[in-house]
Amino acid sequence: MPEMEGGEKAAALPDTRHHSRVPGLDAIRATSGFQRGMLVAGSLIMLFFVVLAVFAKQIAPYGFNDDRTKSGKIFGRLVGPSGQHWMGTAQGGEDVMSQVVYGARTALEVILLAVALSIVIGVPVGLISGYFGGWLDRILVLITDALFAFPSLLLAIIVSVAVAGGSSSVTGGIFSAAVSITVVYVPQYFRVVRNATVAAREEPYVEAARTLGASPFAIMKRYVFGNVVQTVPVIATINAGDAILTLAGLGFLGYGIDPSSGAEWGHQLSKALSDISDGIWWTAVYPGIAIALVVVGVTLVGESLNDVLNPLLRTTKLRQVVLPARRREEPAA
Amino acid sequence: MTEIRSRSDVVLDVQDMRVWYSSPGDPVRAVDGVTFALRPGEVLGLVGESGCGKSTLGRGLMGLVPRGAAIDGTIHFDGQDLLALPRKERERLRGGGMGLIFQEPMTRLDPLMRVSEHFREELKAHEPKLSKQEARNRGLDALRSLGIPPTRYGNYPHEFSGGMRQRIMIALALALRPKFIVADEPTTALDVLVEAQILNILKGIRELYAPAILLITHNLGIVAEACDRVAVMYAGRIVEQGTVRDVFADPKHPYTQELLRSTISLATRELHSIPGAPPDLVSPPSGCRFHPRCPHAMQICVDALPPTVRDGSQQAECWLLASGLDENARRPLQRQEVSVADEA
Amino acid sequence: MPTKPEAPAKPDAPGQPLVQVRGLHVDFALRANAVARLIGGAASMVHAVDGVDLELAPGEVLGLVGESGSGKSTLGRALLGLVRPSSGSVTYRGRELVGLSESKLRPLRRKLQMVFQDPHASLNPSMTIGRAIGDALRIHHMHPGREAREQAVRDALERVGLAPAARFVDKFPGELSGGQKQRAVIARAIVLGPELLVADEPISMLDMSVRAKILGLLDELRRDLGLTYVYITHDLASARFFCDRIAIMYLGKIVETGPTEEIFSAPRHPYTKALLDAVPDPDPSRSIPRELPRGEVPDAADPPAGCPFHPRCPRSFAPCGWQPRDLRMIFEQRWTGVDAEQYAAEAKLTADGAIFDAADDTTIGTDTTATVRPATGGPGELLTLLQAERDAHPDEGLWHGITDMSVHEGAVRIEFVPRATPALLPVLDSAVQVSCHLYHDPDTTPAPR
Repeated sequence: MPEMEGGEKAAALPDTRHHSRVPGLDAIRATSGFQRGMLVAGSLIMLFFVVLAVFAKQIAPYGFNDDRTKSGKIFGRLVGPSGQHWMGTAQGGEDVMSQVVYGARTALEVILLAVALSIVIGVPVGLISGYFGGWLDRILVLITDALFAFPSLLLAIIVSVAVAGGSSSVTGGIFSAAVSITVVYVPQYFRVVRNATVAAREEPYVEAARTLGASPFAIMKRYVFGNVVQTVPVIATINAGDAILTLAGLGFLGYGIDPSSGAEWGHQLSKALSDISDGIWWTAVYPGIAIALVVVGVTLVGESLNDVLNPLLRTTKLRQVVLPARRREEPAA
Repeated sequence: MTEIRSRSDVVLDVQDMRVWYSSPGDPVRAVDGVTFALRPGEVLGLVGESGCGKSTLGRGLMGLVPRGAAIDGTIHFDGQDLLALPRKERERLRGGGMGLIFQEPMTRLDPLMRVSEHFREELKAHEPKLSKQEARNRGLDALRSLGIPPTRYGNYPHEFSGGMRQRIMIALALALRPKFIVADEPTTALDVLVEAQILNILKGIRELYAPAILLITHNLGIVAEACDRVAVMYAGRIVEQGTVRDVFADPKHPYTQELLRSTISLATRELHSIPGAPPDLVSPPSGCRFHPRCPHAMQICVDALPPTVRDGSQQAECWLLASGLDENARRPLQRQEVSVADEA
Repeated sequence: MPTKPEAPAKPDAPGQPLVQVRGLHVDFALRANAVARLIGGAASMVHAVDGVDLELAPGEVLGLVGESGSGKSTLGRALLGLVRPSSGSVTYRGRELVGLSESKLRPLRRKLQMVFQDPHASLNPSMTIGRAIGDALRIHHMHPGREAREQAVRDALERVGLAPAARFVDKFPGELSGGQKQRAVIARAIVLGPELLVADEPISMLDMSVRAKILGLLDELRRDLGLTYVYITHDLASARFFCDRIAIMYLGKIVETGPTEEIFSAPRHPYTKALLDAVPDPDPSRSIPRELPRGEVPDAADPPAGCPFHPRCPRSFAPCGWQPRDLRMIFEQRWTGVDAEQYAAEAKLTADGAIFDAADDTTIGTDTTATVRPATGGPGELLTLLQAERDAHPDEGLWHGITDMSVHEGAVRIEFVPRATPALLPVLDSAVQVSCHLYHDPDTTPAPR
């Protein structure tokens, strides 16, 4: 027995260390009850779509644009779900399931790129604006306010038209879609980081850094950044769900990803629209479910992360104390 | 079990009270067997380092304990055992028969309510039969007794300085004519002059309202100037109590002695400090809880809880005061070197 | 201006002060409220430091003592160039700091360090203690090389008693006790090898059992490192123990300054006396003084005329700077002692005392006259009320500051003694300077402003 315990321990140790490096696992440990359920469910959904996206080539039976098998056998247009095509075929004769799977890849790529761009732009600009204040801050706040006030989808369309400029390569299409989404969401990163910076600027430890002789750049980098950036993962996850909807909206309206360069759920939906009245449901329902699931998954993760990282929302487990009976320690005297 | 003590000269009689509150691990024994009494109009100072359970004790008397905490022992207030009372009854007493004054008055005053409205609300809740005019007079009287002119009755809390707000808090507590008040560090956030003003006022109101006051403070100077008796708390227990004059002149417990020596006063010519820090109350030291920091610790101090020894007005919980200890028990304890690494 | 007893030392003389402050003013613009900003109302100014002269000799400990709002913290920060003075000069070893740009000040910060009141808040929560102290070195490119820097950090930690240093370098501030954190803050300051350490209430937020330890550490560092301190505090007891010299501040001005022992054994300014009397003393044979200054520190944006302490001063008399608004204070005091009916009548007559604030206050030559209009009723009623209050408290300083009250054109005309602002001047046969009319006859000393 003791041997086995030792062996288990030895095996478990590197394992746990490995796991704590995975972001989110620590977060899951910090939750309990309903919160944990939300986080786990959200993470599982996300994991599922990440696997789809990464292994799209292996999972999808065909290419997203193929309308025939490698041997040249044509699928046929609008064929209902069957053993051959689990989700049927689309108007152009493409396999719906392959499109949905590749759509996951497109969505993931665009969202990751958009989030990365938003962070790369929003965080430093927010830091500088919040730390220095003054006219620069006022102008930036004004610009972001204007962007906020603008209908987000319209904004995304304008940017997408401006950026795409005829480029239709896969990366180009994804890049332009990501940029359109970035423009919509960067103000949120900017505002959150800027406000956190304005608050942090007044902290005594920032004054202490100034007293040490640190330059504004050093203060922002080493004193403010680390304390401000903690809010970013939460906004990133909460925004990601919204961003997926924006991407789908773009695709639905015919902007964003060029249909020939990548599968996109929104585009699939728009194509499927005319078929619904004819009782052809599979072309719309599957991409629709995919969109809904991803948004639910991301939102669950975002909300529960917010609960974990925001101490005001954290529920702590408190056990009711039961007082032990008194031990009469009668003094000797 | 609950024998009613009918000593008429006692407002509050606390016997062997415990308050343990929950923590992620084992419970925190914040108050662990505390016994004391308060006479009408008497001011008892409760002193000790931070984390010794002073505030938990004060709040526990009011029935205010954190979620998950447990409280037992007996608290006789005005002839009734508070802990045996139903929750509703106890809540009615809080504020009515018993008042509470906090350190930070601004956090207890509603910024959107005028001072007059605070008084009206409070009096309506506790004495619904009071007419509007009577309530107003009661409020104005209370303010006046604290030196706040009636011109300020209609002002909002933010229009007052910190000291004035604390006076308003005290006035609010007094308007209900409580028999007992817990004042938890009421002057800590204030400037010296304002602090002295408020201590003077506390003295003044004793003649007018005669409430018994439990004054929780970390400042021994305040105890010396404003209190009749003092209780010294260490690690969840009252280790010494007695009249201020006796305790300050001849402290019996080594903790009291060390505390008095380490206080920086105008007479300080040489600094002295108590080594180490108050213990973690999840697993306090065995025997006498002060033994790891005590300059006179003996073998017996580790082994058993010290007896309470009375001497005139004073009583202290210390083995040094016990008689008839054998050689082995009296063996001085080898003190571990306490490094600053372990200090508070 | 009367000359100081000693001529100022030449820049390179051996007795050269480490820091010299001349006529320092620090003003803050109060943020006007939204309505005022919309209609273009001027933001009011707070004179946080209002004309301060100071000298710091190397190795000396100067205590800046005062209540909150006295400007002591602002003055301390101005010494380090952390706040921008509006006028005056601060020199460090003969070098002017006022007007230096932030980037020119930065290298000097190495020599001018600060310890803060709240040790927890003044440490970056996401930096380990080792990194926090190492960062100070990194900023000034001291002890280059990782090895050398880490050694310097360890030395500094052990110097402040955080030994063995290995136990602390990797700790985050949240994992340390208050005393340990303050030691770390001190280590971060001394690792740079400063000459001046401004300690802003360094022990006031600590548990009382730790205060003596930290104060002892500061004292030890002074001896071992030859540090010069500015010790900012409201706690006279620790100031008496720690400081060589004391400057008592009130509303941005130094009201009394001198060697610690003299200030404590023979306080001169009534404010100093009051502060000393009010210190709670753990000696039960002493009790709180009956006579405390009334009220609280007034709004620094609108300080009283003349001596800023005059409305609260228990020893105030004719020339202290009495003005109409002091009448309101007197009446508010009166109304805490009268019954509701009387209060109601008097409040109606005086609009709850607001008529005194609204009084028309004019000074022509040496004649200072205020015209107070009753809110209701006639001026005769108001005059009677004023006279009744004067007769009830004839010893009140305010009444000495009023030479005449009469009914004049539907109002009460009140004539005040000319207002004189006391200057900080040396007291005969002592090393103390005090700014109080009790010691310097206002007729013979020219009043500024």
